[in-house]
Amino acid sequence: MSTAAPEPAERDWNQCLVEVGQGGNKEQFMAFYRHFAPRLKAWLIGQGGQRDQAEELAQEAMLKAWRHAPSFDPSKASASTWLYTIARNLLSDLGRKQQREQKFIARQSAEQEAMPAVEQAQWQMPELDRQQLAAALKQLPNRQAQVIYQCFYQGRSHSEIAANMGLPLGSVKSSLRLGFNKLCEMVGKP
Amino acid sequence: MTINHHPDQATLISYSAGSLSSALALLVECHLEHCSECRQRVREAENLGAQLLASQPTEQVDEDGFFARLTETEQLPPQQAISGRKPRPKMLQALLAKGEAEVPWRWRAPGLHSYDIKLDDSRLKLLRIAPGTHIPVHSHSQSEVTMVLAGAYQDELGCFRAGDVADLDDETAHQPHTLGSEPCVCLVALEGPLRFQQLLPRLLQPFMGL
Repeated sequence: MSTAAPEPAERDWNQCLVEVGQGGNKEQFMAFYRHFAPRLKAWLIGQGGQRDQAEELAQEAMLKAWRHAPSFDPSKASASTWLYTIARNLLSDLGRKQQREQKFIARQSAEQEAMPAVEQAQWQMPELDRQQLAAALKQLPNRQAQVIYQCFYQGRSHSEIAANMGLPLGSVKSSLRLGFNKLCEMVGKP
Repeated sequence: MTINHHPDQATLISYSAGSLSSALALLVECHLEHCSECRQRVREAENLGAQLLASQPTEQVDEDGFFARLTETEQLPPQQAISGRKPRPKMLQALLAKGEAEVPWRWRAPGLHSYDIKLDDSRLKLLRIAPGTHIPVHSHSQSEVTMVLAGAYQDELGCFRAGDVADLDDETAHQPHTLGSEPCVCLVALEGPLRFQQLLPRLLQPFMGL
């Protein structure tokens, strides 16, 4: 993949998607794809997908974004949030995590259970806000970071997290609230 | 609709992350329709979710294959916005649109009728509690989230009316009773069976289907 051109900022992705919606320019949409699809695919793999299935689902989400681009409204949600909700909804249509894993063919090992959020290298991204977010995650107390990670990256419910970490349900919920609010404060309200 | 009781913020965060059970996600969506405050919280969490997604390490993707699919795909007119809402089970749709007379209720205990909607990973229970009914004190082995659709009930936590959500975890015990002269109709998203504190309801539990 070429890394020659600098990545546009978030507001430019909004503009890009608005123009794609108005003009139906496929090349322009491919720029959007090249930026977001590799991250989307990585996220889907974390949610229990194998590489080829994550690729298929990422493509489906992207095609949906293309079909619906004319109704994209940046005053309601940014391009990245809009795409995130499309992918999340496709994923939850596949059923919840256990069902997903069956459909995806289970793929979980002890290493994959471990949280990479604290592994510095995995979080280094070119844009400033990615760095900020990675730094913010690392500043969270371990329990809060784990809970956020399992919720957003592994699609686990509160009771699954509670069972997994050996915590009472109430502690999972309070860790999630605390961790989330701290993250929002640290990266600035999105 | 004035709403006084909302889902726990942790529940809204997990909704945004797509990590709630199907039953709870359906219940949260019913509440969001009535509550702009919670819609705003969900939006904030979705923004964070999007940033977390964007901070992923990248994976190699197939560009040519995707471009080929793209050229075969027509764009839709702007009126066709994406509906993010989960498809609703038929009985829930009927209940929301036309009211409780639509539901083929099953008798569970004096004053208590229910109808179970089985989802892939959880149960969404519709409850109809007759006026003047007291439910025995119980806590929950996991979590119990209730949304009132009609009528009202009261427990140690307050008075719950249409649109209100009681988001209880395994540490709360409560003894709800209905208020007013109308039956109280609720949605309940259950993850584990209830734990009653008295012996008799515990013995009755399998029959009440709670």
